[in-house]
Amino acid sequence: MIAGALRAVAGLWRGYKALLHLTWSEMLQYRAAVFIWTLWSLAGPIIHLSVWSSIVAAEGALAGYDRGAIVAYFVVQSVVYHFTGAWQVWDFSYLIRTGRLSARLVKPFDPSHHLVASNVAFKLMNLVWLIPIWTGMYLYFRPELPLGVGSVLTFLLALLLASVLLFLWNQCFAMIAFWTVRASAFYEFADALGYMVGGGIAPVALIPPALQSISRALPYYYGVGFPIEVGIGALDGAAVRAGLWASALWIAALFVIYRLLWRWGLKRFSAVGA
Amino acid sequence: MAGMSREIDIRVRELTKHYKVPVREGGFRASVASLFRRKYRIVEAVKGVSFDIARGEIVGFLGPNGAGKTTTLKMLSGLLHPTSGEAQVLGHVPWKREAGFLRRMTLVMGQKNQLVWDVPAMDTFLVNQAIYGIPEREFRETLAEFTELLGLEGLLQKPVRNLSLGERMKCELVAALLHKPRILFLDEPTLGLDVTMQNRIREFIRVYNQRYGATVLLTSHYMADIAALCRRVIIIHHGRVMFDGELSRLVGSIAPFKVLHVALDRAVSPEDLDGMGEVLALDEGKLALKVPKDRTPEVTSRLLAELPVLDLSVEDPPIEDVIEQVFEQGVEV
Repeated sequence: MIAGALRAVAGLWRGYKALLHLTWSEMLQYRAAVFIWTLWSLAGPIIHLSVWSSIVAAEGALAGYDRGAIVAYFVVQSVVYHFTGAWQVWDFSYLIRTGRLSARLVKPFDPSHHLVASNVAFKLMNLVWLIPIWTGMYLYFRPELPLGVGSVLTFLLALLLASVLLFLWNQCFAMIAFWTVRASAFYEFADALGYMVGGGIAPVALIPPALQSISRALPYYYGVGFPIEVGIGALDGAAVRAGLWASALWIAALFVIYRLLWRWGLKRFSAVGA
Repeated sequence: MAGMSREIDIRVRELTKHYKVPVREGGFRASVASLFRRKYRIVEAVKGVSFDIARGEIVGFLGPNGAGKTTTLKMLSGLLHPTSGEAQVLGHVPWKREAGFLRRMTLVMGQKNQLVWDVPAMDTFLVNQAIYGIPEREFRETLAEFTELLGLEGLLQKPVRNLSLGERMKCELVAALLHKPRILFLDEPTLGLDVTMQNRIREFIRVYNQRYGATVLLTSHYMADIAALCRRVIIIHHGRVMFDGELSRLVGSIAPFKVLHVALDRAVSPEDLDGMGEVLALDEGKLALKVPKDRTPEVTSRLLAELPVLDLSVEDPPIEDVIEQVFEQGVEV
């Protein structure tokens, strides 16, 4: 039994390694486009940083966020955005629409692995230029960040959970493509709402209190606002622990929902055809 | 039926597939009405199909568009659940999609490809090597063998988007067969290819079948594919098996004729063609003539002697015509 499990893990590893290489080869074909997409992903945090810095400079600190904290928030946001990005809702619709999903379904390898590998490959390769850019941003803005080993490790854990959470969130919407290939419309609506209340356009502490409690009850906060707040040291130990547990619970719930949707969707797909 | 005494690789019994398809009439009002009350109709794509295919057989699966061929192939490769009926492929129920089944079969669907467009085909092959766990040495040997058989030298390093349709199809076949599957479901593998490329792919399928004892179920609209590869054919129409037997029996008894395509230097009248055969088309110097097979040499000589012939080709009747005759003459299954 252990030997079987080891063989399965070795098979997965082989598959992932090959898929990472494949995605990197594809990305290198379009390196200019990939570079521009990456720059574009930095645009939001930098614009918000400028706007909120001006507001805080004029009005004084808001809900505990002075200029230094605002700068730190959006610098960390640029990192969090990169690691939590997910786009398979578009990729999966494409696979269904073009019939390419069938080619993957007749192989002894779950098609979801392709989506995970593509996501991870994109994020890892873009570090080549993002690390110098982030370093430049750090040196230019000089954000005040807790850089102790414990703080950094806690941030990395929150970031990892946020990445998995938002990947699964996106994956659940991707499964809607089994019913309608316009699944991305549902996602874009949810994403826009989540972006507004989850810490995307401003720290959650700056939005109206009623929205704050709604935000903290939804998964988006744990994918955006929470890891940023951990990264800038805005939360005490108890809030961090509660947030990590909430993230883990959301991950478990979203994984179950995704697998159910996958199973139902596949049944429907195999009932109506590719 | 061929191969009755051999081990059965594919066993199909009363396989049936019904689709529920939304319908609405044309026009804006019907569009709005369909938002509130959708109407459906049931399409019976496959109706109680049964057959056995023995190990190592190459069987042609024929029928006009919409006959149920692809639906049957999709059920046998595990992509579709049947509405009713049973099937076993290498002892597996296909739609359970067990790894042991998926590792030993392949499905090639003409235009729906698995090659990644922007990178060389080799990159897709390496992913398949990893997914199927093909040892490095075996992978290199198989690839070398297929490269030689298909004439792939120099193609594996070019991005797929820069390959011609025929070159892509050859690479698709390699990607689909690197793990040396025992069962091949091939849906129109030569569609849209020129004659040379069709021959090459045909030859490849034939050699693969002989070398590895693979069982092949092949659909094609090209009579030449079927004639070159299949001793046995199954004809399906409106979801039912109309004929299952030797191809020679089918063509000999159902379509014992050839079609002569002739390009003429000037227009001729139907009277000039008296006694030569059935005129299928006669338009601006182009003539298509249906001639009994045993009269083909005689009619060809007469055409060349009596008419201003620029070009002449002798072809088998289109597979669609042969199949049509099966329906008209009601050949027993």
